[in-house]
Amino acid sequence: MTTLLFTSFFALIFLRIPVGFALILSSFLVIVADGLPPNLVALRLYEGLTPFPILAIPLFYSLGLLCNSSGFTERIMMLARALVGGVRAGLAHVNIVASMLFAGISGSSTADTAGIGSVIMPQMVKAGYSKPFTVAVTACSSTMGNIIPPSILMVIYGAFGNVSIGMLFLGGFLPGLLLGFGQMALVYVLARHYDFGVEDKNERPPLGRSLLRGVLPLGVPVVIIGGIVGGVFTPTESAAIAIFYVLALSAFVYRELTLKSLRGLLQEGGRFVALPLIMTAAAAVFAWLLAYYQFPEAMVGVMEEFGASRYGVLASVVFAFLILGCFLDTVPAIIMFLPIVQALGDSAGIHPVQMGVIVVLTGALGLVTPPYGVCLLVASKIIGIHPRQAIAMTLMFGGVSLAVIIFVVLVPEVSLFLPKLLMGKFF
Amino acid sequence: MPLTSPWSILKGLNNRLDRILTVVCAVLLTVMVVTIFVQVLARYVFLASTPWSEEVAVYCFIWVVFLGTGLGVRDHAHLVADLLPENLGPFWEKALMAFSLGMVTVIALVFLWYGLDYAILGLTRLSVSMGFPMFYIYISLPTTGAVMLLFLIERAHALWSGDAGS
Repeated sequence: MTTLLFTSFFALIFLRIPVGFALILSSFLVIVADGLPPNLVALRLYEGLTPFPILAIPLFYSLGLLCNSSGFTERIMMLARALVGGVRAGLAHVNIVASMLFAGISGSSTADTAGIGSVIMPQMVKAGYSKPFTVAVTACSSTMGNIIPPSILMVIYGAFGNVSIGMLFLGGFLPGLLLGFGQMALVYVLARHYDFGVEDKNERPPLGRSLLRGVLPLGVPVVIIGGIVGGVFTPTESAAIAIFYVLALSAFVYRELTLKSLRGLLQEGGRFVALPLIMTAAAAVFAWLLAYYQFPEAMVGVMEEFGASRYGVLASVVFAFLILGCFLDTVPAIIMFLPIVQALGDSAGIHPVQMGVIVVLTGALGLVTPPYGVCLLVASKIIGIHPRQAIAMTLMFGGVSLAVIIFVVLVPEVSLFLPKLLMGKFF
Repeated sequence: MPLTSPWSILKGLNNRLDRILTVVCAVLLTVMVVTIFVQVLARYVFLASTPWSEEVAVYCFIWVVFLGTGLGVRDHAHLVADLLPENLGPFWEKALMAFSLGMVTVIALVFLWYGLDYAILGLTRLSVSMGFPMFYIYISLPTTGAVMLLFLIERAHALWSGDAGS
């Protein structure tokens, strides 16, 4: 039955059936073929949407949209310019630093690509950067949106895998910083090699004023992370609080948000959030069936037969998600294979938080790997080139991600140090 | 073609449905955010627990997701994995689109038929904290199935009459 489930699913997505619908169709096919009650599909779809932590996903998406239309994103970029705009290849560094700061506010990588990309990409091209380079920097730096907390992918991993979302958030912090600094190092090397100049010398905003202007937006990560780690509220609640914080700031302090733009935002959000979430619910049906047929246990058996060590297990998980990430959306990929990943992790004695951080890191890399990398597609679209043209550059930055993943695999403390330090009593 | 052809009536109907559902989704999303905010506020400011709030938020959420799924069918918004080459020629492109519409129609019928089947079970099942029949939640799936069918007929007609949509 699992063979039928997988083959029908891959056949359907190959024939361009939308991923969410392909998941439901192949699950339904198996349910009918095995004589299970057909309305099980309805039951499992509802069950996939009922856990309260899942509600954080639409909220974090909305938060990202809201930041982009309320002057938050510009303030963050101003701060990034003041910090690193004056060095060689300044705009590329600004792009990365802005993504790191934005990642601390929003949990969505696509909101990062769209928000920061649409501002900085035209500037970069105007300053003489090649379009493929511009696309690669923008797309790859925005993957940090899902690694530096908060993170939608971690919410999904935690909610479906029953792992503390707060700990996953903390676990992603150091790897996220490493990724950001790694990308900046790569830009530094490339800038020497291609002899990029300093483009931002005169227009650079003064650091003091930018810090002052950026200090209120940076209250968002403090509220979210502080609130969750301190046990004040749940991740879902933290997203709602952050939304009201941004709303209040932009309505009363910045006075940039009008009722009209808010209405447009809500209508856009109301339509848009359903798209990743139907995939979430559909993938939950699929994963339930896999668990029902005890597929995770079978995989553990296979692994044990091979005598795979702890690193063997982690390497195969990373490898599997790298392949999956190329042609599947990251959200359903994580949910579909989560039961297997956890069964493998438990049998090899890997801490669930380390496993979660590794899966999210690899999944986030899938956001930029062709042919199906959402962030790469969005970034290419902004500047009007075919994603294919940016592949070589993107792979170079992908190499940095891969290096960070390997580092987290080899050194568990990178992902476990902060959760132990700050949430040790739950550890 | 005269204005009163059944296709233009369907198109008019779908336009209106599209607008109404967009507003409904926006309102539900707003209610969801506000409810969760109130939940925190109640807990820390008024020191009161609000057992109803989580339920309200989750149920709004379920409706938003399913109605939004229906809306996404109309404007080709659902994500497709691009595994095949981009342009296979007009015949194959059209054939694939027709296959896709057919498969999504199957989904719509499953949502409608088995969703209704399941919703009827909800008539006697009550929500945990507010105690109203789960039917009002479970009816969201068949509703979406019906909405999807309306949009699919419009898209099938567009495909048939040569306009490939998108």
